[in-house]
Amino acid sequence: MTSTAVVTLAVVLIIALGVSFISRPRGPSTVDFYLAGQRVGVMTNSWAICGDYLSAASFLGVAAAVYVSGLDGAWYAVGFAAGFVPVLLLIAAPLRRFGEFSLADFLGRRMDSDPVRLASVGVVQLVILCYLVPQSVGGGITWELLVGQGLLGLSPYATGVLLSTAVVAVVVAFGGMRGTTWNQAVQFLLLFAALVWLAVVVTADGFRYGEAVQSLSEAPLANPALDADGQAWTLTEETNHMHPGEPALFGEPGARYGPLGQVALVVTLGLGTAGLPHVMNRYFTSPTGKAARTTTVWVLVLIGAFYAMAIMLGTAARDIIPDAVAGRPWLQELTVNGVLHTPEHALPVLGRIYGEQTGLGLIAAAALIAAMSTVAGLLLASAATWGHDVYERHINPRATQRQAVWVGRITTLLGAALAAGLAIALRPEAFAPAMPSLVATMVTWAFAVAGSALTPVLVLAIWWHRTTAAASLAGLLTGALLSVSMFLTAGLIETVWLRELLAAPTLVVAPITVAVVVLVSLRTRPPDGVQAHWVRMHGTAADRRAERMARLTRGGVDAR
Amino acid sequence: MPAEVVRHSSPAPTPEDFDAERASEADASPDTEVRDTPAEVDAAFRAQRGIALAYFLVFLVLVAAFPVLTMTLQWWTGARVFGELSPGFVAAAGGLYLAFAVIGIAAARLSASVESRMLGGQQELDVHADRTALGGEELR
Repeated sequence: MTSTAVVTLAVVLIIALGVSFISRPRGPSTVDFYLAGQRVGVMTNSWAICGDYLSAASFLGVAAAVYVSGLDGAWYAVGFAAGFVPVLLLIAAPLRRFGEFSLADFLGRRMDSDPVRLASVGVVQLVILCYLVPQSVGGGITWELLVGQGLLGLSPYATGVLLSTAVVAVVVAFGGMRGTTWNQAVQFLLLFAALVWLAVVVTADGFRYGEAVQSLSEAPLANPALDADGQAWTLTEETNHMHPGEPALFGEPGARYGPLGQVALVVTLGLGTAGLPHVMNRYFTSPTGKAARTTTVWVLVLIGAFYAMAIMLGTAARDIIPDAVAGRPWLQELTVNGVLHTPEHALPVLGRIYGEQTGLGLIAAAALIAAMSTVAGLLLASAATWGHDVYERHINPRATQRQAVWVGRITTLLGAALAAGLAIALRPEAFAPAMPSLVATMVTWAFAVAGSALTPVLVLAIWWHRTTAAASLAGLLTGALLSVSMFLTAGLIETVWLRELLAAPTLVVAPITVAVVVLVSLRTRPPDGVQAHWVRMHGTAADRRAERMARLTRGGVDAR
Repeated sequence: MPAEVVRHSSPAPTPEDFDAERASEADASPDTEVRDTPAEVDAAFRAQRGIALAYFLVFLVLVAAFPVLTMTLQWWTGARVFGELSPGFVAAAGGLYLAFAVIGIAAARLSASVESRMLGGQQELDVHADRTALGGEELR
């Protein structure tokens, strides 16, 4: 292990554990543990949501997808960024005004139905698992590249998975939402700073975006693939899915998706965001619905800037690495004719080219941070559903606050162990030939389930007063079952447009879910007390009271 | 029309975080501060729904326009408009994020404005009544 790797890992650990210790919960309260006391300010929450949302899939995966597929890789970024528009328009403010602890709790309370709460818990756990495993994979990949050696007889990859997941599990179990919030906020700022540094040094070295895209588009796009024997890497030209028969080019659409595939991916990622439990749970920590909405505006601005840089750097990596191979034996091992075997290495390699070991350390630290901050949010969301929605609501309704918090901590540790085990079992090499950007592809599954099952039910529960418990249950089950069966069968389909549609199924499944909810609602009875729910969800009385309290508090402080 | 008192089920901030004297002042008249009538909320809800749907439609058109333009307009991928980049590349690499942010800012401003105009009217009446009862501050 180099001294740079040691310093990098020490910095990541100090930040994670130090911030968690400073901002640890002050008492055994579930509101403090799960919701940080519901007093997270707009800027802090927007940074924390970005840290939560911008995972290894965003940091390593988007640049990797652009590196390998050119313009078509940018569709991941477009879909990820687009997701916060529906959140802002349809969900943020009413969800926060209704209150509660989690998405499952919101749906259970809104429909006044335990089966809806429990079905939501099941769907939420499925989403969390699909999202958690690739983050742990990202931690393993980064360790492999940064440290290159394992501990206690484990492989470097397994060591990275276990260590990164264990650190986050401890941070979440003992820091709760308060510690996790500050960790995610600080981690986002570091992540953003790492991308800005890379963008600045690359540009200062003479990289010109437009010229690079034009030069990369002069030859057909080709990527490494194993030969028929599986022994040697060769460059293979990508198929043009937009204009069959023509070569696929870096700067033009078609290297990965046809027209339907583009729209299906963006709709799946866009609608999926609104159903991601770890992101939506953060809105319950805002003091008011208005603050939740303003927070989302800031998130849109920040992630837009982040993804624009990630796309630029994916392009820069494709342009710069072939010329950088000469004289760098370590880079020769990672490439075939100047093209990386593993596209997720694009940003770390750029970091090493421009900053030697320090640059690699910075980018690797940012990648670890990206994976860890998202894992933290996912584990906390998992803890909230098991600890609050299942244990407190169903298993032990008389649980003390201390008992409930400890159940949350224990479920955090169990969830982390399960994710690490699955990440080790699903080594990236097992997927690489079939899926060019493994981390981003696996995350798409989480978005597919969330966008197909949770988002349609959430939106109807918020905006259609006639929505019933039976309909919500039917919608959740329909969306989850259809989306899982579609993306699992996608790999077996030969027809390109059909495979693209099945791989990102929300475009088809979400309308079916909506139709199921509407039809069942019209045949069943809505829950009692809808009017009270409406006043709470769409009124601003609680906002005004919280704002007045805040003004009085400030007045009290100023008067001293 | 009967006024509806709304009580938020989420736990309120802990009292020790506030100046004790001012917190007690705030708690002295909670009912007059926290009311929204169902009729007010219903009207605001309808207005908000219209705003959300209109902006969502704009968002959908933006997202769907990309593949349509790619298939129908050679200029979209063939022309060079910004540092040798095609309009399509500019859109995917930065333009769409800017458009999303603009949609977000415009919708949030409009929603906040609608809420402040349509909700909280009862509170203003109560504040007015309180001030009048306290000695005609409105006349000064």
